[in-house]
Amino acid sequence: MMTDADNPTDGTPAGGDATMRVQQLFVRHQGIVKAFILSLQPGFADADDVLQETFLVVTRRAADFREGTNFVAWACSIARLKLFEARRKATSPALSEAALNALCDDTPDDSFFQARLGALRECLQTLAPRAKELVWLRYHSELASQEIADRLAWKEPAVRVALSKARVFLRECVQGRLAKGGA
Amino acid sequence: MKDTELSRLIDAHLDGRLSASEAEALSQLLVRDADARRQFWEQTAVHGLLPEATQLEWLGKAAPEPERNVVRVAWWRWAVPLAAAAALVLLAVVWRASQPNVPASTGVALLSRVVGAQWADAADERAAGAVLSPGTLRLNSGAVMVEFYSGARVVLEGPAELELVSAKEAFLRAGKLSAHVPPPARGFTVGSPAARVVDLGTEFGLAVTDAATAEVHVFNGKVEVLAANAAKTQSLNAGDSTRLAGGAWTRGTSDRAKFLGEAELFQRSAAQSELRLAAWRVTSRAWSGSGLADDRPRLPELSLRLHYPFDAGSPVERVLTNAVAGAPLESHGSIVGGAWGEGRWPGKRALEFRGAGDRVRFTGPESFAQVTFLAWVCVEALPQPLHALVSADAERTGALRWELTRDGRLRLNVGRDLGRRRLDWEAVNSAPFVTSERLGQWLLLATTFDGHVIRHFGNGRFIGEGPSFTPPALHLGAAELGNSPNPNIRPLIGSVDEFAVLTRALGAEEVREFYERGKP
Repeated sequence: MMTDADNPTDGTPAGGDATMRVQQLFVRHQGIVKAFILSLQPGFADADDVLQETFLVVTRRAADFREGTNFVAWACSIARLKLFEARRKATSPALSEAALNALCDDTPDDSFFQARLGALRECLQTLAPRAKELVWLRYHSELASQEIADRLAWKEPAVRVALSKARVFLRECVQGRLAKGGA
Repeated sequence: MKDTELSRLIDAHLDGRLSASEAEALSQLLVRDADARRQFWEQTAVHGLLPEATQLEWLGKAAPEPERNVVRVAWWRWAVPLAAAAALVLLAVVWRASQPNVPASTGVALLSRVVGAQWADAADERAAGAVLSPGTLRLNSGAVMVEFYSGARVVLEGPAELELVSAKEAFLRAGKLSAHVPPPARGFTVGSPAARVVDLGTEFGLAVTDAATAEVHVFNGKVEVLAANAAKTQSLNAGDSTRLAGGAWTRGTSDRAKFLGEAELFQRSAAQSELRLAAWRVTSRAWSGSGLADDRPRLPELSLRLHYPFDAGSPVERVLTNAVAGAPLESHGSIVGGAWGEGRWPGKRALEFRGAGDRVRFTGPESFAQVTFLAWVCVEALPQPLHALVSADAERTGALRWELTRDGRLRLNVGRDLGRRRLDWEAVNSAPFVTSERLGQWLLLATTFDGHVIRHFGNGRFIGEGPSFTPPALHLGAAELGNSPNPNIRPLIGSVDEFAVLTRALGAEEVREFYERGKP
């Protein structure tokens, strides 16, 4: 996270170019910002659109970012605006604006995501091989459950159920690890 | 009890399968109850973080087990071409390259923009600039713009399946498209299982959900619509829409918001390019050892000796900076001829090789046991039997030459002294990769040699391998990029926007990751 490694002169060729600086921070923290967006906008393609538009705004508003403040919180506040814009265009049933607002106000800080990310990486190693393959096809290759079903010659609902079970397993494993780690 | 219901609703939200009443119920719960919100974040965090958690650690760490499974799936798709390739590779471990003629382009359209596209079949993956022959585009997600040679332009939004029939005709099997048809392309026709749309110089949208349904929206001008089993056409004017379902038409007004238009696609495309370029810059710097401290991978494991990102200095400068931290002075490249052009993204430069004299002179590493060549190249043409990528000056045992053959194969030559007066070159070719449909696109070409086996990769995918003798040491030394001192090897015709030499043979997953991080 924000450590002394975030020395603004390190790796910034022009030395303190604000745009370059926020872009660098964005790329580094992209995984967490994306997790925030994906929680509220679960589709990969839609979430990527929100992420990209957030990046453009972050770039344009680079001068507004105050060094030493929490970058992830700043980026998520911009992503939030973009999520609302996307919500207005949504055609399928989605969370209400009031619910989105309440959730955004209660967004956990980046240490919450960071801790879970670390635990999640370890927990992935303990998944059964079949479940691991499913999770990789869904989340690394970003295939839809129908495509996974086609590839593995499964029925689509079976893929969804198995993925849901894998997520439950991972959530419980993550919780267990965090509890053990004294978090 | 309540918790399981909440958990089920959150899962439905993650799967995008909330019904209207469920969305309402979940929303109300979340507004009312702070515990529900806590559970929401806890439960969605796994979904949200999994894309990041399943990313490979950037080079230097072994890929997790499941990646092999994914690769294995890909392998099956390649099984038939690979069997053929294996036979060819065996043949290829000889001196001479075979020289079939590149078939004349049978293109009917150009893929002009690609935004966040996931192709249904990895082998179909196409980048912007690709010439499209008659055939089917299968898009799982994302969007692309197709410019037909007739002048008609189509924005296709995934998931969709579009068959290109000719420069004037396409067939939408499923999904949504919007078409812009300028006067010269009048008569452009889009078929679908249920109905045909003939354009009379306009802008329209067509959506196909199944074989019996079609929905046409006209934004500008006029179109004619003909149901598959009907004889009589109906005309639609600007502002009209019509929906065919169960054999009956329902008229309405057109709705632009239902379709992705050109302006919106351009905007998305620009946003995607900016983000990808910024991401590439950060990784690229980390990779060279000049990025932020904790982005930096373990350099000894990387064994990066030469890295030209083509991204610094002024365009009039004739020196190509080797970005590897602490690189020796002689490893910076010297540009001879060659003009600066646009690279993989707007704002990223590339060096164009057009003239017979264009080249970059550099001094590469000497005496090493393994090697990886990586280059992002946009090839314009391959008219000659051999075109140079990299050529060592020295003709000695272990010297390396990296080339493209006329039929688009990657080829690595290793110098071998057979005890005779002259040096022999042993070569291992890949299967054809830079074929006519891949000309004009940015491609990642990669070849590794671990001292025993030479492996080739195109856009991160394995495209062939062959055994090689093991020379006492590999050698580059004084060398050139994009050209060769040997008159039998013709210059590269195209552009290069990143080039790297590592003295370690990267694994397939690492090459794949390099591709994923750098693809346009």
